Order: sequence, then C-alpha cells, then structure tokens
Amino acid sequence: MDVEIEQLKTGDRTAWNRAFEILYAISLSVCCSQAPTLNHQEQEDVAIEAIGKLGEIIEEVDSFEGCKKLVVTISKNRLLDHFRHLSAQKRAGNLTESLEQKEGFDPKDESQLQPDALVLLGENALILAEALKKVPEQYRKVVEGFYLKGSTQQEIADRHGLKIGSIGVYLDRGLKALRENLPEGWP
Amino acid sequence: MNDAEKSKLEQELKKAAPVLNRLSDGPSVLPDHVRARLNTALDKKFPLVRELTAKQMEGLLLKLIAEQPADGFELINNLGKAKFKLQGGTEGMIYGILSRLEHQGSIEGRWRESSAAMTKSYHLTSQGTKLMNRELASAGELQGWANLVLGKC
Repeated sequence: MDVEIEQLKTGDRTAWNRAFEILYAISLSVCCSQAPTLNHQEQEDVAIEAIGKLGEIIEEVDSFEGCKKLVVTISKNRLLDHFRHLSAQKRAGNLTESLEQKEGFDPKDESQLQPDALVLLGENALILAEALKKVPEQYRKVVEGFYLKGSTQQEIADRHGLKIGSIGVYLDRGLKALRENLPEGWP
Repeated sequence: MNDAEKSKLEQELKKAAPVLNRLSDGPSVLPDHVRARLNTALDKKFPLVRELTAKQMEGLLLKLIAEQPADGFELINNLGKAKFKLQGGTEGMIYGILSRLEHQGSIEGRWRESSAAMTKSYHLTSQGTKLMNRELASAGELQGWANLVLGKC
C-alpha cells in the first residue's frame, strides 16, 4: 500500500487522493485505539489536522512510509494537546471530570500500540473497507451489521426484513465474498 | 474458506471495526466532506491554476475589494499568488475589468500616496455591494475563492 513520495512533493492530485485515504485510515486508527471516546467530529479534526500538517512539511519527508509514521506521531501529539486543553479547562473549574483519566489516554504508556502497529491497523482497515465495497449488497449489509455495528442476528433480520434462520448463511456468503476480494495471502 | 481463515477474518473485522465505522460506505472510503477539507489544505500548499471567465473574475474582484480595499497591483499580485488567471487573457486585462467596474459605479478608486508612487485604491460602492451579492448568490464558489486569495483558509 504505497504512494510515490516524489509525486506527493510535486502536488500530484491523484497521488494525494490515494495518500489521503491511507493516511486518514491510519490517523483514525490512532484516534480509535488511543482515545476511543473522542467523538467522530473530534477524531476527524485530528486526522485532517495531522494530514494537513504533513502536507506542509512534505519536502522534508524521505518516503511514504515516513509519511505514515509522521501522521501517527502528529495525530498522537494532537490528541495530547486536546486532552491537555481539557485538563486545563478542568483545573479552571469548567469541567467536573478529567477526560484524560476517563479515557486512560497516556501516550507514554508502553502498552499502547506502537507506530508500526497503528500504521498496520489503519492499512488493514482500509484494505477491508475497499474489499467490503465489492461484496454484494445483500451480504455486505449483514456482515457490516454483525461485525462492525455489533447488532444481533435478530436485529439484523428485523432491520433488513430477512428470516432469522438465513442470517448465518448470509454471514458465511458475505465473509466468503469478502475473502475473495482481499489480496492474496492477506493479512 | 476453512474455519481458521474464517475465524481470522472475523477477528480482523472486529479489530478494524472502529475505523471501518468512520470510513464512508460511498464510492470512496473518504467521506466527501473530509475529502473537501483535505483538498482545501492541499490547495493552500499546491494551488491549482484556476482560469476564470471575465464574469467570474469580476465577481471575485468585487468580493476581494469588499473584504479588503486594494489597488490593481495588489489585487493582481494576490490573484497570481493563489494561481487565479483570466481565461484567455493577460494580467493586464484585469485592469480593464477594474476600469469597467469603476465606470459603472460598482467600485470607487481613491488615490493614495504609497512609498514609490501614487496608487489608486479601490473601494466597493453600495451599487457594487448589490452586484456582488447577486454574483455571490449565483456563484457559490466565490466566497471560497476569495478566502484562498486572501489566505483565510
């Protein structure tokens, strides 16, 4: 999963469009794993800010791998800024609870995923997202409901007007179609 | 697909679920509004050359002058930096548009002394404000273009 760094440095739109997808997924993986209770808008802001910052300094980066790691670092730093700001608000009496404590956010904690693992998590999510788009819709919506949204088989059956007994078959077919659309040997 | 492969795939799906739930289910994995925000940041770093028609350029000039009175040189300089050009025209033709807007009473030129010479600073008139509002209503991108030229985004 790569983009030519030289193309990014010249502002090539096609290269940047692909880079946006990869880097956005990576930044989201940082937000989701390190600050899971941040709302969607806040996670989106962190990701956009991180990628925007990378764009500003792209001339100084040697490879696209370097871009991915920088986005992880910048995203972590932005999260840290965010929580510091909230803690400052708390100290000023504007908040009743430290979100830093509430969310267990600690970038120095060794148990947190390391940059390579976060890059991999984001890339895997992107690969899965792209493969899921190729799964026939009737199976895809069942797979998404069950594995991504955490719905029960009964809820999925009710939502999509399916027989409860058929959900298992739809899940099997959906996973099989998903597997067929994933790269050979993945993950 | 055997049981081990199925189990592995299920694990990967569950692990990636928080990120997958934030990606778009449209044609691209990036939600449109996210792509738009990222492209705005990219435009700032690598401005695209935008060729405007005379009418679009007229609307943009009115909007720029409304935001910040300026002389012709400043306007052309700022447009050039943000890579805005007049379709099939030269920079000098932008002076022609300014002159026409001044003659029709949409902008008013006021002479001022700068360090090197006398320059004419353009200000929007009430008639120009009406014209600009009409242009803004029909061309929604004018505001965004003005922001790009003025470095507001």
